[in-house]
Amino acid sequence: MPSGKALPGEITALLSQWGAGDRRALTGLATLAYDDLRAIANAFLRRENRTHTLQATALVNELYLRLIRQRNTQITDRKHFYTLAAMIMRRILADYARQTHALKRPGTRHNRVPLDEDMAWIDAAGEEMLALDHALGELEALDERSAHTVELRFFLGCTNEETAELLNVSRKTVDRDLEFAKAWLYRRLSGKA
Amino acid sequence: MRIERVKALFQDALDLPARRDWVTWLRAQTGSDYQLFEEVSSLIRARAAMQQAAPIAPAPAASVPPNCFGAYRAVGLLGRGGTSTVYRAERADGQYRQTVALKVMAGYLTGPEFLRRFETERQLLATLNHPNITHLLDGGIAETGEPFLVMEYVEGERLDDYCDRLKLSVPRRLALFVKVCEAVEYAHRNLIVHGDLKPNNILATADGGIKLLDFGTGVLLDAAREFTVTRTRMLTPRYASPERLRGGRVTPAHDVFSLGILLYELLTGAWPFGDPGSMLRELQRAMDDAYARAPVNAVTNEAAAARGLTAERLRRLLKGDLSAIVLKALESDASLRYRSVRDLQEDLERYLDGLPVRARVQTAWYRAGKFARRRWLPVSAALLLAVSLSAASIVAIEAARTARAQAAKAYKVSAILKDVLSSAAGHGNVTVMQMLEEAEPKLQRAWAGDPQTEAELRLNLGASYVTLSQPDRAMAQLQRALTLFRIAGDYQGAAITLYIEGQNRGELGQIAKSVALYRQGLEDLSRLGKEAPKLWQFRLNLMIGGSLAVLDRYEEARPWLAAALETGPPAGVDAWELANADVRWGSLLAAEGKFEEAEERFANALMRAPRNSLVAGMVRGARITVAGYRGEFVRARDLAREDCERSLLILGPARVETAVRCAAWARYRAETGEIEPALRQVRDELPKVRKIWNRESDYLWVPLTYAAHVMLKADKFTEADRYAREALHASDIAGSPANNPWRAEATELLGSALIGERDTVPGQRLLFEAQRLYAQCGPAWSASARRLAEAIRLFSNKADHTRGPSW
Repeated sequence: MPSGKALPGEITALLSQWGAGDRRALTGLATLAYDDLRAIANAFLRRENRTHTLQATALVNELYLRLIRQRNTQITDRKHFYTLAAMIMRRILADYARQTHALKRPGTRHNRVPLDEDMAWIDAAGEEMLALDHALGELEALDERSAHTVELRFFLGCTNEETAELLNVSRKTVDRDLEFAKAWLYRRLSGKA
Repeated sequence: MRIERVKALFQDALDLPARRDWVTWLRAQTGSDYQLFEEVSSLIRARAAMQQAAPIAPAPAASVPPNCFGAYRAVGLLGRGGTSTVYRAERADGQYRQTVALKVMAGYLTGPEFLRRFETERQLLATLNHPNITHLLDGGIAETGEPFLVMEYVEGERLDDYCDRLKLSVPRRLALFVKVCEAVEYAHRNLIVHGDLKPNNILATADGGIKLLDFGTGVLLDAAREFTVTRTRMLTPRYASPERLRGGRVTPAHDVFSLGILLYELLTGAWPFGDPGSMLRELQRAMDDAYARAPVNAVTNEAAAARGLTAERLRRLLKGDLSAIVLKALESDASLRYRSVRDLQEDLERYLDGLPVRARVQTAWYRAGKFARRRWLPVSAALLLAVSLSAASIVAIEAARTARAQAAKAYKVSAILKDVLSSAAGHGNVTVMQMLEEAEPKLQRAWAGDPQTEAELRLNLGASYVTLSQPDRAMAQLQRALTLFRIAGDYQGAAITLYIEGQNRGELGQIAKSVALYRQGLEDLSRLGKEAPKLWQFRLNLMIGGSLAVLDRYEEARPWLAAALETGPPAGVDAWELANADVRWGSLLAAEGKFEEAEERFANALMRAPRNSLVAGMVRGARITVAGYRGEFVRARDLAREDCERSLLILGPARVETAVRCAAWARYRAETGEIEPALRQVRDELPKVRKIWNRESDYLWVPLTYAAHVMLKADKFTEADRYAREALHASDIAGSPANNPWRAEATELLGSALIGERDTVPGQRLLFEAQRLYAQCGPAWSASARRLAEAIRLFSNKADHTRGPSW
């Protein structure tokens, strides 16, 4: 993906476009911020604590604080930033999966890593990540909120509470959306084989 | 099929009581919509299948693996971590009984590369031979492919639990801690760092001895990092140094920090940075933005009791030297920490012996020396406004933003301010400005009665306002900060405040005033004598020299720039600042006609900060100017266009800098034949420029002069007249000295315009005047002077007075 150092004003401009409802600006943002976030991600991504949140939200806060320092940034709500970061994390993981598989010799055993305790049937180090990425895209087209819930919960590691807060829905909604999304994704991904 | 319906049905089906047959229920819900039924039921089935699906990594079994690990056999589980599991084990070869601890690295860490590294590290670790470090006995790869380490088995209790259980006094805790230091120091001398020091890894044995576990695991995990995807449990962030949180490598300084946290907890029973679970804290720590709470403030009654004291007495004990020692170990800037564990240990021993300690008391002044904020982006990169002229001086005006961002790092934004900003931002549409407004009253409470703190906070606020282009608010804060710093005797603080205020003025275009402020700043610094920080001397010198250059006072600028450059870059200077100095100096050289040397400097600047768009902009602007000097108008035009476009993209059209750059482009377009577009540009844009221009700006003459050029080229003499007059007027207002090349140029332009308007005699007079003025400028303008002389000569010879000379 093309990535370059973000010119500071660009991020602001894209943010306000995004705030004004231009969805494509989000892609632009993701592209621009990618390198920066990847650097942060590499630092945070490797750590795990009792709660995933520490690593993930920290990353997002970093992004948030960076963007907030843009002059007169119109900050609509934190959700935008979290959603962005979740997207980027997802991309990072998908890219990683792609790379790792390109390098592997056929037949080598690779070390499988569950994406999350709740989605333990997906190997985060495996090719399924690419399929998952794709499937999520499809889900997003059908039901955006569920897809975002998945991103926030599994790619960003937010707790259900945090996810609810970010998406401005109730905790129950998050739980239910997750159930739905997981089933949908599972069906989609096992259908492929 | 509407997804919401599908989802709702699916979710409702899940809510059904267990006995209920969902199929029947669903059929009833979906009626004749068979598709809908199918969709929902397939999802329900998928869910069931999912729950049956074997997870990738089996849930950690509590059982002991039956297989052998080399000559050892696991007999009991001791503990489980994210990257390894520890078993109690025995030799299985029947030779003799020996109980060991067997540490098995997690399966997904393995791979040939990792194993190779593992072997190397293992050899290293085996060389550690110290009574307080668990000895590494053996290691290998299990049949299942997992690497494992065999270590001396130790029965003991976590150090902190041990101390609390026995209610050990502070001196006794310190004595134990010193033993820990000795062990770590020993390992460091053998070039092994621990990387994960924490109470879990420090056992107190029944006889009061100390055993350190898990040496080198941190290093091994660094190796692992390359081979894992996500979710590898690395180390406990609670004891991690800021640099480690940022993903840095394990170093001895990191161990010092971890020991610092440990010491803090042993002394106070609390974590230095507040709530260990708070993610904001962790982020702040990672960004060097968290201060350790003074130990005296962390004491609770329970903690005191666990140390055999009352809270009051514990506090008294913790004041002064002990506090200083702990805080020095907890410095977020590694270069300010104890250089080695040995130093920490010795200071503690000095304390215990009643001798003075080396730890410096943490004054704000002292803290102010730390500016490294590697991970912060500038608020928005400043773009050097380098306006190019045809034949006049390089006017390099620094849009202050990067410099301001630098200066804003001078005192860390307090945790309070950060918190306030973050919380304010959570409330819907709000601009940063609004947040600051909200923050101000809250901050008043924070600094109650402490002039030093108040000064720092106001400085920070002021700097924030500067970056937000709120010059009046900024000024209010900064002036107050200045007074407070002076009261507190903090001359460095005063200097930094003056620097920022100078930036503030510079942004308004009040260059001369900003120079005066910078000079005051240097005076304040000079009161610190030898202690004066070189970094700020450098910056102030550079700003003075640069600003004087802006005002075309090159003779005056030279010594300041030389002073900034001669001592060599001080520590803490960013690459872009050095690049800036190069560009300035290059501009100076160019003004003296030394174009090749100037170009060398520009190239040097680019090399210093290769991917920095600020520097690229500066250099581009300087090159435009040089091209102008040399009459290379096509090159100047192309560079100016790039400049203009970048500015439009980055700053947007409503900025002074953009307007000026675009005017420059227009000027060179006119010069190279693109007269119509240039004319349009000027007609469209100059009114905008007027609107956004600050009346007090020192360099309004720049775009006006450009406009006059364009008008002349287009033979619009009346308008050229007007612009040129305005330019002269603006130049006069600014009080620029007579040998200001802009003045020469504006004079020339006005003269030409008058001639074009058939007002020949005064026009001619002005041309002579302009020639005289050019002659007083530097060598770079000699070309202009010559050109002008030639034109005058031609003109005088011309019998035809119906047209002005064609420029």
